[in-house]
Amino acid sequence: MTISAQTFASVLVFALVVHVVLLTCAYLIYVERKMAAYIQDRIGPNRVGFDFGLPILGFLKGCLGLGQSLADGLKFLLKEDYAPDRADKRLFTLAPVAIIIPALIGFAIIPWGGTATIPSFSILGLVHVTGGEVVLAGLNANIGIVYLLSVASLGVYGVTIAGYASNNKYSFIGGMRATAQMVSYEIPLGLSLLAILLVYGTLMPEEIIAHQRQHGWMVFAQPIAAVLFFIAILAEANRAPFDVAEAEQELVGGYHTEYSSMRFALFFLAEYAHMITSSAMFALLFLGGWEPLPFVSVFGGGAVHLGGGVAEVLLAVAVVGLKLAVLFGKAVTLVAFMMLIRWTIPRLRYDQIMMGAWQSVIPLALTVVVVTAAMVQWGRTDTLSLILANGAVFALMMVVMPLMPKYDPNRKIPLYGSRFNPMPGERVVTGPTVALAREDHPVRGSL
Amino acid sequence: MPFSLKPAEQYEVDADPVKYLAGHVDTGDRWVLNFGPQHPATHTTLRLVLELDGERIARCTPHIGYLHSGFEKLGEHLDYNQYVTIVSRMNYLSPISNDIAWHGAVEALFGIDITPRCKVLRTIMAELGRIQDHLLNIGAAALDLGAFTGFLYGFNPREKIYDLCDYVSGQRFHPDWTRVGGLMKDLPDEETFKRMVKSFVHDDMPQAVKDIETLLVRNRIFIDRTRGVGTLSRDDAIAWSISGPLARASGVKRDLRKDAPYLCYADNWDGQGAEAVKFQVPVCDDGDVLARFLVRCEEVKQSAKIIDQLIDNIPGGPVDTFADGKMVKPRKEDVYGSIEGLIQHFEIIMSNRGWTPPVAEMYAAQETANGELGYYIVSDGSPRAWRASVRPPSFINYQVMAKLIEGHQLADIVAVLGSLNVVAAELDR
Repeated sequence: MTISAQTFASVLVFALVVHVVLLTCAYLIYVERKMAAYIQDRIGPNRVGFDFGLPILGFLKGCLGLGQSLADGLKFLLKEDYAPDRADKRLFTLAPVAIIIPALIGFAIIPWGGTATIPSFSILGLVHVTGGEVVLAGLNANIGIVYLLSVASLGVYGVTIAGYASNNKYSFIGGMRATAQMVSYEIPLGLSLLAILLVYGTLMPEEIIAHQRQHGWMVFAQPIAAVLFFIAILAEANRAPFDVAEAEQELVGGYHTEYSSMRFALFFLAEYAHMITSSAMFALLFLGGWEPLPFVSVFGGGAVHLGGGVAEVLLAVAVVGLKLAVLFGKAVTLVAFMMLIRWTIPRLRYDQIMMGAWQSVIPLALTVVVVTAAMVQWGRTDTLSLILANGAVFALMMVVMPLMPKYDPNRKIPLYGSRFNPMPGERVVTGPTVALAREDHPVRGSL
Repeated sequence: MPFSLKPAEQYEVDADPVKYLAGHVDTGDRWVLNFGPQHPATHTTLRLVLELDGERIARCTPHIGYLHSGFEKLGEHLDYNQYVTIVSRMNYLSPISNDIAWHGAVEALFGIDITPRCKVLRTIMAELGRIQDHLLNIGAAALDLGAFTGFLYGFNPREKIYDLCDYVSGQRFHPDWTRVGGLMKDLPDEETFKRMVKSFVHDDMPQAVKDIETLLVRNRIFIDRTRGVGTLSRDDAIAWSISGPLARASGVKRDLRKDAPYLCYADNWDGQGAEAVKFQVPVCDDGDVLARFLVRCEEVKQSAKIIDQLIDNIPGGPVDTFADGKMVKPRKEDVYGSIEGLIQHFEIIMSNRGWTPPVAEMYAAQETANGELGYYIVSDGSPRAWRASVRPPSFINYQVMAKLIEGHQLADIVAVLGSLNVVAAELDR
């Protein structure tokens, strides 16, 4: 059997990255808990080591609480896998799968290690790998970034299905909120992406990094798009302050209220995997990918050669590893920033989030796209011109914003049947709600 | 029977379900959501039956009674000292205030004037109780909106108040510290007490309030979530007899510490012309959740000011009123050292003896953290109250819940509920 070098590299990289990411997710939970603890003047997890309660492993006790994630994972595996009565069992099982798969395959497009050339070789004489230049990513497709958009929009299905299948009103509200929110924030996500792709003129991640190596990071050239993209990925990942879908204080657990055991763990992992994917994507699109410094090229543009002597191969692997570490480091830093936001500011309300999307983020993103398109047409795509264009957009926003009609988001809306806030002219009757409360327990046949 | 009730027929109750349904417009897309009694945001066991139109609340029906514990009935079986352990468990956010308010009412019934030292100590502890409650509440304002950090900033210094309660009474959560005509015991060591109070009032508490304010007061999301939410007008606040920070946030200038002064809030509290403690009562006109938050923040600072004025001037002398009054349980050394002390001890402890209060009715209220906490005691001359009724601020304030929330959204429930600071144990008694 003969396979191409790219297939070989893709399988290898993807297998490696998925495992690294899953492990990172587990430890990101630990990091988040520690971080929250330090923000809140606490200590955080510091007890669980790797001794598993065995005296012989006593020297592994403690370990700064690093065993916590492992213990949590074990706990999830061993818990009762419970599904509520009258839940739609098939959809209920499908939902966590539908949410974890998009979260994991989103990684495929990210070029973790740049490009490399691989010589022809064979594995045990069975599989022949033809040599050539490869991109060290899970997927080297010419649609590039569009793949990210398509995969990201799949994530909403898991949430919707979970909310629908649980037969729980809180879950349903959570699912509805998440659906509306994620669909709305895909638009600014796509628009801010468009604003920078116009400048890049390509969808290929490698070429995007090459462009940034020449012209400086895109975050300097398109700061507004960067901010909008970051807001959009926060909303897409259902992170604070956009976590209305699982708002504990309102909806108990939101769409995953009824989930327990490993199914719940999949929701949990998906959230963190989603955060890493989107952060890595942000690092790739705005922060120069695996190049560590803004205006200086450290690794250069060429492909590393994974061949020759042992020393050369080791050196090449080290370079690839460094690139991976830089990109991963940037992603994790962004994730840490997301956590900082979560533990600092309160949650927005659902309608405020939607209003934010349709009344501020999307118009602004559209303006940026139009201005950028004009700049591209004009042939001025260098960093300085784009910064000036961004400044103009910002100034325009500052001028237009006070002219917008004022809108009180917290106004009361009169409703039929309300006792204290009735429709104008409605006769208000104060009485018991017994008749209505009966609706709460509909008499149905057993399913 | 010392009082009579109006017969039920004379109240106009529109409780006919058929009539109700006739007046109800079925829009066809309404949901009934059962919010509580088991819900993370309902602060113990409150239940709201909500009729939702999308995310809007068309109708909100609070169902109470899930934590009914018969506290008032217990007041008819326990004597005036024993019942303090029960009142302390009503509002467990500031238990010491309940103790002080209960014995304030009992002493008003008995006609006892407590000693200046006792007054000062009770005032200090009552203000600490207020701080204890408000610190939790301004923190919970953040928690209910999803910012967990502010909650813990408020919760940390509360531990210092528990330490103080532990120090003065031996019990950190429910001190049960007051007694008829005095206190359970004098301070173990006055200097240590002063040091602990000062370190709390000058270091821990201001830092916590500053942290929470820095986190929230200028935060756009917090403002957007709270301004204009759950607005209660001044007229409504008076009509629904709302008291405490809620009423003051709605512009009602009422604070029992100023309007019906007691303890050290009254002039000439030590009988030698001492001035009342100086403090300001924060009032806000907006009446929304934000206003309640700000009023509570300011009240904490004013409480600290009151404590500051008193802590260096704790008068000497006994904490209990004169022993001849047969009102106060004597000190242990008197019980074991003198025949009079022993007799008085037995007189109070024995179930067929005890106090001989006047046959009278007495309502006395104090301004606690949540509002006017009053006790209505009906005495038949026995050492137990014939009726020990409570005017719990939570119960009265909770009436407006439906009024505040109808027309708002589901997410606003937690903000409004938190700002009402309803304690279910006090609400259901």
